[in-house]
Amino acid sequence: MKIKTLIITIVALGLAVVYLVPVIWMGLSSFMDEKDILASKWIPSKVHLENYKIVLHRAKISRWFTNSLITASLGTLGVLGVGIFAGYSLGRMRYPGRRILFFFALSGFMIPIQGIMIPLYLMLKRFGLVNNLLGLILPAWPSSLAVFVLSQFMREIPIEFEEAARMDGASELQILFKVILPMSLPAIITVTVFHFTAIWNDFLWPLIIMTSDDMYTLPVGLVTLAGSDVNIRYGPIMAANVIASLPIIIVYVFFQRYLARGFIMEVK
Amino acid sequence: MIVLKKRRHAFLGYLFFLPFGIFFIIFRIIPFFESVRMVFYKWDILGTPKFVKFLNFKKMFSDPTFWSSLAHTFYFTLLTVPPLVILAFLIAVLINSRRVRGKDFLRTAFYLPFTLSISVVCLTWGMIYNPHFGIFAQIFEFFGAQPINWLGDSRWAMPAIALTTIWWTIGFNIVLYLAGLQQIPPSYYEAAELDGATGFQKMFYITIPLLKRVHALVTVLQILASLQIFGQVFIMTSGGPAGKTRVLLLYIYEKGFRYFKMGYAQTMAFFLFLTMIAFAYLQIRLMMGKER
Repeated sequence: MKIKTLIITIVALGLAVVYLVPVIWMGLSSFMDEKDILASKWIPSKVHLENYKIVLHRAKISRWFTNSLITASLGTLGVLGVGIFAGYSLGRMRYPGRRILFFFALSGFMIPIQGIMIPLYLMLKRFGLVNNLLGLILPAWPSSLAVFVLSQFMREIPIEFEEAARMDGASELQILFKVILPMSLPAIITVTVFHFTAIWNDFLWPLIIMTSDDMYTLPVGLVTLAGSDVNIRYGPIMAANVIASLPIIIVYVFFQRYLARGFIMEVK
Repeated sequence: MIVLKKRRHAFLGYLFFLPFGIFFIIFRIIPFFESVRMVFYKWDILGTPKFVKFLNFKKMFSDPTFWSSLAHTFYFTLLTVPPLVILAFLIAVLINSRRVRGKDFLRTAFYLPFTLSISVVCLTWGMIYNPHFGIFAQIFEFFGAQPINWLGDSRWAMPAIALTTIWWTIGFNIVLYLAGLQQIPPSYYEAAELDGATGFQKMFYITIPLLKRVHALVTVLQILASLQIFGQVFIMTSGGPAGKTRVLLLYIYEKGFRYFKMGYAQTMAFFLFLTMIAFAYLQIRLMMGKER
């Protein structure tokens, strides 16, 4: 029995390490000069910080980083802001037409952004939101997934908690913010992590609406960087990759327990 | 009094829904109707749109690049969906196994690539595939084989992009499977063990059938994601070599945002939407479960 455990664990850990090789390679290459990389080295012959300096100096990486951070933060906040109210309304309130509104909200699943990107682009152009961070932030707000996850989660909360608060004369808003919201934390974290990473990593939409390199987000910036400057090649690109990835990896490692828990509700 | 209270409650219900509703109508519903209207217009970025009836569709069906892009999209979907479903299931079973230690590390390791930005993934894998110093070139050289120029070879470019995609996104499917696996009551397995069931029997008579809905959900989500392939191709090959990896969304992007043939591009986008809609409907049904 014990030996079987040991063998399976070793196999699983081995697989996981092999799986991470590309990430490890990215990290190691970011400290190598071009000679090391062209010589297919795995261990830098000496730790070479030049790549990071080049990237931070020549590229607008801090600018793109700020753009990404603003976009992902405000985008996610908006998703939560409109999603929590809609989720509460659909998940916990009773009124005529609620089911219709529920299906209406879910119809967003049937409208992929790729299907509407051209009219959406033309519309944002009329609003003057092309090449503007708001053009990335506002269209992210109406998330059917967020409304769905939040309303389904809130529905499962037993009515007794709400009734007790109602007896004490709590208003609807108080019930939402003092009773339901704290109990919905796993769902809120799921929605937050999912949308933050989705907006942070989005490529197609910022590629379409951002026209000057000052307004790029990190993913678009990185790709243009790779094709723009002959001095910015392998090593510096990998350094830029590391800089771009660290915040998300930290967010993920920090929240991953909650993430898994929230997804359970989603598949149930 | 009660009627009044009920009415106020209903009013609040609509009010709470309103902010979402407004943004939803502006950024989803209106563009959707506009997207249907646009397919009947010759719509260049300059000049006024001209109503042309079904001309865009006629053009599309006789455009060989449209058909080849569509074929490449299906090819990519075929290459990615089976491994992304089956491997995700197997890895999730492995992580969930009672005999495995270090579950937290395993889950983190397999999910980590999914948290990386598409640009980071594709730029890194572009180097991994480099025929001179990339990882595969090193392996091939070690065995004395001639390294392949993966992304520059029309036979290998799409499989290479597929492999990168599998590596990048499998973690999400694993998490969905893990969530499903954790809901199977351990008593089922214990009962089976009492009856002397083997590991294979437990797998085929308990695990696989009980996860029917998760299999379906993962498959549907994966098909939807694969049909929307764009960034990997845009970054790694720009559709090359010789257009062999030009997928539909890339062609739509080129027509719409490089040549500004908005009406024609939207017609193809509408076609893509039609191929996806059945799967999107299935997705909703699966996510809602039996209760509704």
